[in-house]
Amino acid sequence: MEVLLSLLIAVIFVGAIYLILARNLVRILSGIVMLSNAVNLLIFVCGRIAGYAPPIIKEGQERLSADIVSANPLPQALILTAIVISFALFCFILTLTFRSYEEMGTDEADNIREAEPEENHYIPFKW
Amino acid sequence: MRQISYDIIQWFIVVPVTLPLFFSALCLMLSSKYRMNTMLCYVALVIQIIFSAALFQHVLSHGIISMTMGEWLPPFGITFNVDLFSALLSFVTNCVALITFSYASEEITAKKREFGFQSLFLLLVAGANGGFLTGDIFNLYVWFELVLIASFGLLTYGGNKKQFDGGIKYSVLNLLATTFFLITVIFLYSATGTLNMADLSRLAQEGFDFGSIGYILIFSMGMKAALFPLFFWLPASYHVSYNAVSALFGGVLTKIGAYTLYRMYTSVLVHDANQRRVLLLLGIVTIISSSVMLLAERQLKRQLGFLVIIGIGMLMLALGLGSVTALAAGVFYFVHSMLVVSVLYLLMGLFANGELFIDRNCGYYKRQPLLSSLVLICFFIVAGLPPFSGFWPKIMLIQESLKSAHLFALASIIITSFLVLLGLARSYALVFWQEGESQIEEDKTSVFSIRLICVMVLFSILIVIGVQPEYLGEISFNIANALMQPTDYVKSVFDDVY
Repeated sequence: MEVLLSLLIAVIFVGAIYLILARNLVRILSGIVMLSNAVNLLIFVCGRIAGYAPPIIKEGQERLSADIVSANPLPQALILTAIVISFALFCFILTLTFRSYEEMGTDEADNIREAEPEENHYIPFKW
Repeated sequence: MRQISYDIIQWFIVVPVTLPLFFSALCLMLSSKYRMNTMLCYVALVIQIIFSAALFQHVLSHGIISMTMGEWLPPFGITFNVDLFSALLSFVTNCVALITFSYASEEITAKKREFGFQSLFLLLVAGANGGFLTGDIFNLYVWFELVLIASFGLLTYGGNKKQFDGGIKYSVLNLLATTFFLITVIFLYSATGTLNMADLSRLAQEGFDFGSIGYILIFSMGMKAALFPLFFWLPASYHVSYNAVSALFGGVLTKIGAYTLYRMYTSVLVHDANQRRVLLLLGIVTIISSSVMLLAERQLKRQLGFLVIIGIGMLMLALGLGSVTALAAGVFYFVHSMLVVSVLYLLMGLFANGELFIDRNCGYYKRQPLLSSLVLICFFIVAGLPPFSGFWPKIMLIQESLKSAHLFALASIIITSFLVLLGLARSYALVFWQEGESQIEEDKTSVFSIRLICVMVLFSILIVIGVQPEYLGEISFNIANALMQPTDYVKSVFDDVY
């Protein structure tokens, strides 16, 4: 199970990095979504997939009974946090990209040179 | 289950985080009333400074304090852990935040006011303080993301084309960096089963081998803090926003990444000498390459971006050298760099709204001689000339690299200082001394403007640090000694429990 999941994560990572290296902003954004999902899966695998029972302590007991191998609850909490955060950030970047497409009429990263205009000036070395 | 009882002072730890979060929410609720929001933000930032000063004073006299949330005993609960280092950085951050906010309240004139500036500002302050104060590495990741989303909003606040461009580069690359930081966190958890930094530090002292996890940390934090091959987003994005926002970003944001590296490499990833060498090398290459790029840049405000990077490079060089004196120099440089970068961005805003190009000669010196002299002194401070605050950490680093025979480090510090001085002197001569044909609209800054007062306050703090470096130097040495001995850090968290 872990090996299979790891291979899957590797495949998603490869795809994500391929997309992020593109020039087109929409492709970069798709790459970022894939990357954050790959990381979520990674968290899941890194928390060890040991058992399947829910880690809930029954009423009146102090701890889980010894014969139950429970799932690790912590990675699930971490994944939940990570999903929410990456979703919020992705929404922002998506909006930002759309607005900049509206303003500048392009989504090719090479053509967006507002902040760093191409310069042919020679900087004077004397005054 | 054991109960922990906390002193009243321990509750102070959470104030620098919860207070701005609360006021940020309040500002959102009252979002239609701009002036009211500004007042609320002032109140929050002033209380913030008082509390973080109290925290700093307490840590200085009583040692490290820690608090674990929700009575989940450490290492399970989220711990906030304040040693002198975090308290100092949090205090300086809050001071810079108050000053830049006052500056922004005048810089963003009534015409340019839009919804939400104060909320975002307070969110960023909360995130930065959280990052400095937390003792839980996943929690640190969450603060990074909070800072990130607030900074996206602030960077594009105003919404012109230039800001969209800078915003895209900034947001995509920083989001990637935090994703990689999350991977680091997860690998640490996978290897050790704990996310608490003090617990990780305890494992490290017991000789746990973290292997090559540190390299992913260096990659992600190198991207966030702007180290050599990964810093190109910074000069591409920091200059697009309002000068007050740029000042806050330059002063605080990159320092959180550097702080993380300092914390991790002094308490957790201590055993791997190779990784330290990598940090040293990255520091050297960063300072040299960015000082060369500073020479090639023609917009003054973008040159400041390279000065931010040089500051980070110096910090990494100090961390890479790794002795007590070098770390003390690093801590000193943290404070110096936070203040000087902010004051430079704020000062540039007083001339033609920061749009200064070195091939458009404006002859400011003739029209505003006092203000222009102030710029010259600030350039001296950032270049590290003797009576000013940049000089002391530099001389400590030079001594230390001589002693440990790191001649490349020594040479790079000297070359960088020379190149920075050369570049800044040229910019000053061309922009401020030389009078040219190009006409600029008269932008007389009155003596009593809030913006000038903000600049003067930061400037006088820097002068005091420069002339009287003993106090800050002593604190830096205390911090460096504490960083070299992480046992106290561990003990403060687990004392209540074991």
